[in-house]
Amino acid sequence: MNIEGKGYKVNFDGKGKLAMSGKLAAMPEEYEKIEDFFEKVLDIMTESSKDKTGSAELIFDLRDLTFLNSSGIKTICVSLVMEADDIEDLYMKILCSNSLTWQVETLPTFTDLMDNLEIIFE
Amino acid sequence: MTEEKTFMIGDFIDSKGGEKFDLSSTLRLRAKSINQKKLWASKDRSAEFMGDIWSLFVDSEKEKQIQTVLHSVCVELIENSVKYGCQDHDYIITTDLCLKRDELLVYVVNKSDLSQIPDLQSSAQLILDTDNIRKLFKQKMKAAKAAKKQGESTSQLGFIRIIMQGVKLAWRIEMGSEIAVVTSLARLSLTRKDA
Repeated sequence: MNIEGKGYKVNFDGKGKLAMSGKLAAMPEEYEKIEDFFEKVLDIMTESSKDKTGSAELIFDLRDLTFLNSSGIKTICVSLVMEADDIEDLYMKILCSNSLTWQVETLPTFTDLMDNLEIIFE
Repeated sequence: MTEEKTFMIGDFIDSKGGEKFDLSSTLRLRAKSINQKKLWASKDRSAEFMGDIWSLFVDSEKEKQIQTVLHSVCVELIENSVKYGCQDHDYIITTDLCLKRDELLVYVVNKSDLSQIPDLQSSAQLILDTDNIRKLFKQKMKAAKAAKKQGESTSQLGFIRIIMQGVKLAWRIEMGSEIAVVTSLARLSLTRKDA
């Protein structure tokens, strides 16, 4: 499943790979769509962890997201990372790019919001 | 007679106080005459334009970083102007960029309803007073999650994000009888090792 807006894309393969790409500095209302999308992703991951009678891993690829405003950062933190933290046995890896300043400065702080989170820079 | 009161928060430098700038440029939008969606889209273009043009005037090894930081700072400050600007009045948003020796100064001016000033004042002071911006980020995200559960929206993350990029913030607030004129100032040092 995926959603697209002006200049950005969000894609989930239904198994454990979520990716955002492009530039995203949308109006606050636009982020409601993305919040709903994240909710569906986490529902699928919750079911997945139950099916496997163990843990599940979500890989969130942000390497091609070249710009994100503060409303977007809040959306990812509140509606994805912090919600994921409430799901038992869910592990998350966020793939980031060393060449994108906003990622280098902001994404390491996400580890304060979720215990089972690993930030990987490439 | 109406009483006017002006006060500063943080280390504010007045752009009109006889200060000589090496370079300056101004972008002025009469936002009331522009559709809100177009205004939002123009904010991105304006911010990118400011970043592109101004990064040319710094050392080449800093060009990319200054471009990115300027883009981000302009986006956050202009977004705040659009979100909190008072549409009942002129609703003019002015963005001034000035180069002053070893600093880039970004001024964004907008008019705001008087009722919004106490919130601005307290959140600005909280951000300036903190010695642990990462802890404040976490607190704000927790508050945003709690607010979301109540069907509300809050974060004030824009200012925190600017500070996290090593940029200083200051404000001048001119309180009129009906409206306040808010000038937000972002100061980017060009001499910091990582700037």
